[in-house]
Parts: sequence; structure tokens; C-alpha cells
Amino acid sequence: MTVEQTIAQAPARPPAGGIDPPMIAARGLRKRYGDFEAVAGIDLHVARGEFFGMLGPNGAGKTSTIAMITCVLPVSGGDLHVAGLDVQRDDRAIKALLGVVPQNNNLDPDLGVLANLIAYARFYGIPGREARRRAGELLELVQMSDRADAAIDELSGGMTRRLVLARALMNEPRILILDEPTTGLDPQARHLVWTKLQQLRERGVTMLLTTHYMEEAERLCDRIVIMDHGAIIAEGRPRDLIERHAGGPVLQVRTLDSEAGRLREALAGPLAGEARIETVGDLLYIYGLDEAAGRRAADVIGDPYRTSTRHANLEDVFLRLTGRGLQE
Amino acid sequence: MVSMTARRSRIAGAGWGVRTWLGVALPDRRTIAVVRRHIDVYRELLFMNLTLAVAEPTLALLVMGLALGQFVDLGLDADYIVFVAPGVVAMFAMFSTVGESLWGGYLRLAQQDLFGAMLATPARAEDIAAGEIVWGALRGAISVAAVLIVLAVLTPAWGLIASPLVILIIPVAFLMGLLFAALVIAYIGYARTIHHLMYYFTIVINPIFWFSGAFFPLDQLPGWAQTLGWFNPLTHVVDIFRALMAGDLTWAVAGDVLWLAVVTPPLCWLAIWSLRRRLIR
Repeated sequence: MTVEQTIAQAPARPPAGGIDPPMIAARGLRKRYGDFEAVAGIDLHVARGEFFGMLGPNGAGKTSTIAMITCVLPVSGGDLHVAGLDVQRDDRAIKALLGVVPQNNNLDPDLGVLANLIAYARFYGIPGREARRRAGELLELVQMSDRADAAIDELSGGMTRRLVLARALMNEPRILILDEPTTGLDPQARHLVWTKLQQLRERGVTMLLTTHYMEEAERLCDRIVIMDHGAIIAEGRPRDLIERHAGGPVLQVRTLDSEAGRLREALAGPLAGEARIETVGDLLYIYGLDEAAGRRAADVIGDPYRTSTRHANLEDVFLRLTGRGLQE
Repeated sequence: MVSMTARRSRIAGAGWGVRTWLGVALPDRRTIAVVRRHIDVYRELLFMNLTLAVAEPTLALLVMGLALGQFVDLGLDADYIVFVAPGVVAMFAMFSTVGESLWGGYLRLAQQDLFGAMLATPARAEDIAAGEIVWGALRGAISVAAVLIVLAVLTPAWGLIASPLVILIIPVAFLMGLLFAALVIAYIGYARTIHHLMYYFTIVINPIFWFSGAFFPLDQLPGWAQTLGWFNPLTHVVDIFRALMAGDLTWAVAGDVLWLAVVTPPLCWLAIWSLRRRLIR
């Protein structure tokens, strides 16, 4: 029996204290590159079947964290277990349980669509006939059965992404790692990927998602963490985080380029202590306004056509907590 | 229940730590998955690949044997083409290995991120490096097999092959392929741009090619040049090929094989270490 089969059939090693082991458990996890600490001692806990999101600006440490979870980056400190296995020692066994959708579409350009899946399956020790069966099913799942013989560079962006997803499913993973799975896709293609991910979650696959699309995280994730400067700065269910950090309605003001700073200063006096303002490019977001403060704000802003009110969302939480608007 | 226990202990067995030798783990059967991927790609363009493998050496032999041979007198008994043919075989073995490993390997590493995709599977950097080395060696062996066919066809005219021992050239070509592929993969771990490959080709591969005894006998050179030639892997390969084609085995040939067998394993280790260092930061 191959290692893969062994792992697929055996239950994960039972943990010391519980029946259902966390699929991902990190304690004090660190990654250092020389003097720079990319991941500065984080704790993570992803339960079986959970759809878990990691948000954060570029350079927050998400990619390093994922690379450690997928056993391609050595851990600098702390410990990290995936499905009860230690990443420092059981890398092959862990990788056999993972499906990875990387940020870049690193499909094999020298092989066709079907051949990509077959070649990939060999790394898991999946025999040829079984690999062809799974590949056929997965191409059906991602609605690409008619493209089995196509070359990789003939595929659209959406199809390429779906094929990467199909490839990540060839080993019937217990945990799917999704690193910006819909970046660069048009809305239709994105919805198609979302639908597939929902289907997989219903089958009990644990999901770890990173994304820059707050809408995506809000829609898919049971629970998220927000990372910044290598640390986790917030954790919870999307709804709860919005409630806690952004609250009620948000007044959104469109400004001219030169005007944002001045308008912000002008608003600071009348709204003192009552509302919070974030600048995102030429937009001002005003949080926590009650009716009276809203009227005072409207007086300062003037032109009613450039203001709108909307519900707070995860993006507001993100902007507030990372405090960096659109800067890198 | 017995099998259950066995499964548990196998997983636990993986938990005793990854054993490494001087910083690299032993490659396992995923090496074969890497090689099979390359075979898949080779087969996609099989006709073109085989045509090239036969056409190139044919051309080279005709030019060197017929045209160049008219002007070259090495003071040997045989025609120049008989002298140079083993050198041509070695040359093609080396160039197909180096070409595959240097350009192909770098492309897969840096442009296609194919190694990144492989690393997401249970494969380790060690398996990927080992797969690249084995495939480079296979390319050399395939290429040599094609050249031998050409030589066999030309033999009635020029008496190039004097012994059935010639068939042993193929496994020797595989051995030399391991050496050259390792030499290249070790470098690829450091190459930052495609220009670095050209540099390597000029500084390392070209001198190996020219000063190997493939085109002229090294024993007519001054002593220091012969000493230098001894450190050139291709010198030993050419000596072995020449002996096998002539059916003239001596203890010196055993020495050449030993030289390759001793030098190749540390180079393979170096290559695996280097690619691992590049892939796993």
C-alpha cells in the first residue's frame, strides 16, 4: 500500500485533548529572513470542514504562512501541525493531504489539459487508469470536458484558473489551499469558481483562502483573520468583525484629488469624537455617524450628489485595522 | 485490526524526522514522476526529436570525416574519421544532456515555475533535482543511440565500428549524462538570468568540449596540457568510447570508468543541494 493510500484511509492522528483535531494548528509560528520577520509569532486554528480566510495587505505575511503550511518553506520558530502532522518532519504526508491553488497559474505549458492532470497525479502515486478517471470527473466538474486536448496557452483566464483548481483536486485533498484563486477573473468566471468552492465545502473539504477581494472573503469564509506586519490583528466571523470594527452605515464622499485632505480637516472639528474618517484615494469613508453628526457633516460637505450611504463591509474593517488606505 | 496498526506506525514512522545527508534528503520514487513528465513532453514532439537526433550527427560526421579529414593527418594508422567518430558520439551525448538540463532546466525553474507546481505535491526539492539529472542523462543516452545507428549505417563504407562492444557506449553515455546534468543543475541553482546560462556555456562547457581529445590526441600535447586534460570528464568519456568502438579494452579504460564513477556521485549531491537551496529558502 502506498503512503498516499495509507493516509487517505487512516484517520488523522488523534490529538492529545480532543476528538476532532484541527486541520491546521499553529502556535507562535515565525518566519525570519535574515533580520526581517515576515511572520512574527502567530497562532492559527482551523477546524475540519471550516472555510477559513486570511486577509492582509501585501507583505503582511500571508504568503509566508501559506508556504510554511504547504511545507515548502522551513519554519523559523514555533510549531505548526497540519492534520495532526508536524510540518518539520511529515512534509510528504502533509503534502499528500493538501490541494494547492497557487497565486500564479503554474500549469505545465508543454502538456495539454488532460496531460497536465495525468502528469500531476503521478506525484501522488495515483495509478494511470485511476488518474484518467479522476481527471475526467474533474474536467466535468470545472466544465472543461470539451477542452481535454487543448493546449494550455489556448485557454482563457477563467478556464486556466479552473484547470488549476481541478489539478489541486486530483489527489482528493482534505485541505484546499487557495492563494488568491480569483485574481484577474471577470465576474462571471469568479462566480463559477465560487460555486465550485461552495460545492467542495459541502463535501467537507477544509479551505484556507487568501484574497484581496473582501467581498469574496465575506461571501465564502466562516471565519477570517486579518494579518498585518506578520501578526494577526483581528480574528472572527466576517459579520462579527464588521459589527465590531465598522458598525452601522458608512457615509462615502467622493472628492477631488486636491480636496480630500482639506475636507478631512474641515470635518474633523464638527465631528470631533463622534465619527471616524478614513481616506482611500479620492474617497472619504465616514464611520459611526448618528443623525445629528450626519447633518453636521452634510453642512460641511455641501454638494449632496457626491455623498452616498452604504452598509459597512469587510473592506471597512480591513481599512480601519490595517490603517493604510491604498498605500502598499 | 492488524493492518490498522501497521498504517498508524507508518505515519508515525514519518515522524521520526527527515533524515538528511549533508543537508539533503535521499530522493524517492517521485523522481520517476519528474522523469515521466519529461518523457511525456519528449513524446509530444517525438518525430521532430528523433529526426534531429539522427540528422545532426550525420551532418557532423560527414563534414568532419570527409571534408576536414582530407586535410588532417594525425600520424595515425587510421583515417581521421575513424579517430574522430567516438569524439562526435561523445560530443552529441554531452550537448544533448547539457542543452536539456541547462536551457530546459532553467526554463522549468525560472520561467514556467514547474518546480513550484511539483513542490506542492508530495515531491521534495531533492526528487525534482534527481529527476532533472536522470532525465538529462536519458537525453544523452537517447542521443547516443541515434548516433550509433548513423555510425552503423556508415560502417560498411568507413569501418567505424569494429566491435559489438560498441553497444556499451549507451550505458556509459547515461553515466556521463548523470555527471554533466549534475554539473549543470548545480549551476542552475545560482543562475539568475538567461544570460548566466550563456556565460556558463562559454566558460565551462566549451573548454570541456574542445580540450577533451575528441578531435586530436591529447598525448601529442605538452605534459601540463595532458594533466589538465585528465581533469576533463569528456577526456575519459572519449577514451572509453574509442576503446569500445575499436573493441580494444585495456585497464586504462577501467580507470576511465572508475574516474566517472567516483566523480559523479559528489556532483549529483552538489546539484541536489544547490537546487534545494534555490527552491526551499
